[in-house]
Amino acid sequence: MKSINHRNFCLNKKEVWDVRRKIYHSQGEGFLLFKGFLEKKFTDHLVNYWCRLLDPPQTHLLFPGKEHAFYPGCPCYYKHGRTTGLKVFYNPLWGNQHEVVSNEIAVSIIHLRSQIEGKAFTREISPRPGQRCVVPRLIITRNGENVLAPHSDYGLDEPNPRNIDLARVQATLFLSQIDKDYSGSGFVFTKNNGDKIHCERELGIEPGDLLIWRYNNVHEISDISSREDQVGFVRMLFPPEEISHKAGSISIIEKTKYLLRSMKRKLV
Amino acid sequence: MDKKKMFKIIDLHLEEEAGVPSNRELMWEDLGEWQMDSLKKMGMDSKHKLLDIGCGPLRFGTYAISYLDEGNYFGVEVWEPYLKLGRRILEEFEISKNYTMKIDRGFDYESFGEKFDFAIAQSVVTHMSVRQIDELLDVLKKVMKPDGILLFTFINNRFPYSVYYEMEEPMITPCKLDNAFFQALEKKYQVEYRKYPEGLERHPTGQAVATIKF
Ligand SMILES: C[S@@+](CC[C@H](N)C(=O)[O-])C[C@H]1O[C@@H](n2cnc3c(N)ncnc32)[C@H](O)[C@@H]1O
Repeated sequence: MKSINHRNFCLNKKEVWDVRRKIYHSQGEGFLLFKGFLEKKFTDHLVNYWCRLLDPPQTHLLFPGKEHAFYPGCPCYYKHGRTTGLKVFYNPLWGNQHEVVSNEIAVSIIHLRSQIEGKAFTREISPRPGQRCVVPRLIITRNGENVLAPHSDYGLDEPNPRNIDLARVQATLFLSQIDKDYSGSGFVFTKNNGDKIHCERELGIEPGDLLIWRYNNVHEISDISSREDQVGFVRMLFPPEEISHKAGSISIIEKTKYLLRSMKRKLV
Repeated sequence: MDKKKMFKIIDLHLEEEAGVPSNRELMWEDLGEWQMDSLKKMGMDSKHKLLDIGCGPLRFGTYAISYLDEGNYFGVEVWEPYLKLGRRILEEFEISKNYTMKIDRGFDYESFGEKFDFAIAQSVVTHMSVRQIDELLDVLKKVMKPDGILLFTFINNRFPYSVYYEMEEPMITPCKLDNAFFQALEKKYQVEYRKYPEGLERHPTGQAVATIKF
């Protein structure tokens, strides 16, 4: 397969089927690694922006919980676990005006994924209430046990049958390096044959690599640790979120603070 | 359907480059059984000849071919990979009876050289333009026996929207398939249209169900 990267992400027909067989066929692995999806200057840029420079309250609202967070025109959100150091940035494409590079990279990955899933790319990039739309997420995990409990998504055991979709794949864009920036289990994925793989170590994953994996296979992150001088486990994910009609439970104080800050930014 | 069989069907779709996992497999039994049950209730027996319009990879074929007498099943489809996939799926279900399936984009059903007692278009009119529905009736008028019945399912959309089938085949769903629309066809082709014929189970996905008698 020719080199697929964030500037060149259109697969030809043969490539599409090769990839699909690797991911969905019972004899396939259930995942595919696109080595070097991002050049170093882009991973450096993302890590620099999200891990070092950004002061989240300036650009993001506190995450109000999934229930009604995402709606057309909603802002970006962040979550910050004071004790674990976990940071999660929810960056809807329409809300993330401050970091266009992340948006461009996200779009290339969403497009690549839609080719694999055989679904129209435009289906899930603009928000329509009652439907799903991809909200790119950047996550920095510093320390923790049972960071992501073993589970699967969109599988046959979904309580709501509407959520079963065996074609769905998820993409993890790795932005830091195991055993250098963090240690622990890393991302553990259960392959189509039921065997577990510790992705970063067994696949030699480096920052800028993109792992596309079958969403309904069990996946987990059992433990991560990082020292003060390490950046932690940094990655981007692209979950399709449910879109609601309007803003839910975001507190008025939070919203006013955010509006005032953005007005100030404009005036400055 | 047991999980093993379902995943085998998914594998076959991938091997034949026909499709990624979808509702097709998840609803295999529900929709297969519903079609069989409905046609039997409409009076189909094993001696009858059946035309399966938009037969897909023979989901309903696995039921109908087993049930009908040798050679009485005829399927038409536009998506080419389903031709070979259908054959492999029948092998998987250990069905070895004769049947006919062809790829057809131009409603050339006369080329089968047959007259049919029954025709079915399950979730297919939902992929056809209004012009194609008209063409369909035009050719069915020629290939259906007198009193032959078409059973079909549809959705009465307010506006046309497009389907990008397997991201390969652009299709347009029809709209305004209301009583007036079908009454006009009734008149034009001298057929009898009936929505929600008595005695049939609700369609598993909630589509409208209707028959046309020729
Ligand atoms: C939702 S699937 C239903 C398949 C099948 N009837 C079943 O129930 O398993 C719709 C099928 O109709 C086919 N189709 C769409 N337009 C068609 C046409 N003009 N002639 C024949 N098949 C068509 C599609 O390729 C697809 O396989």
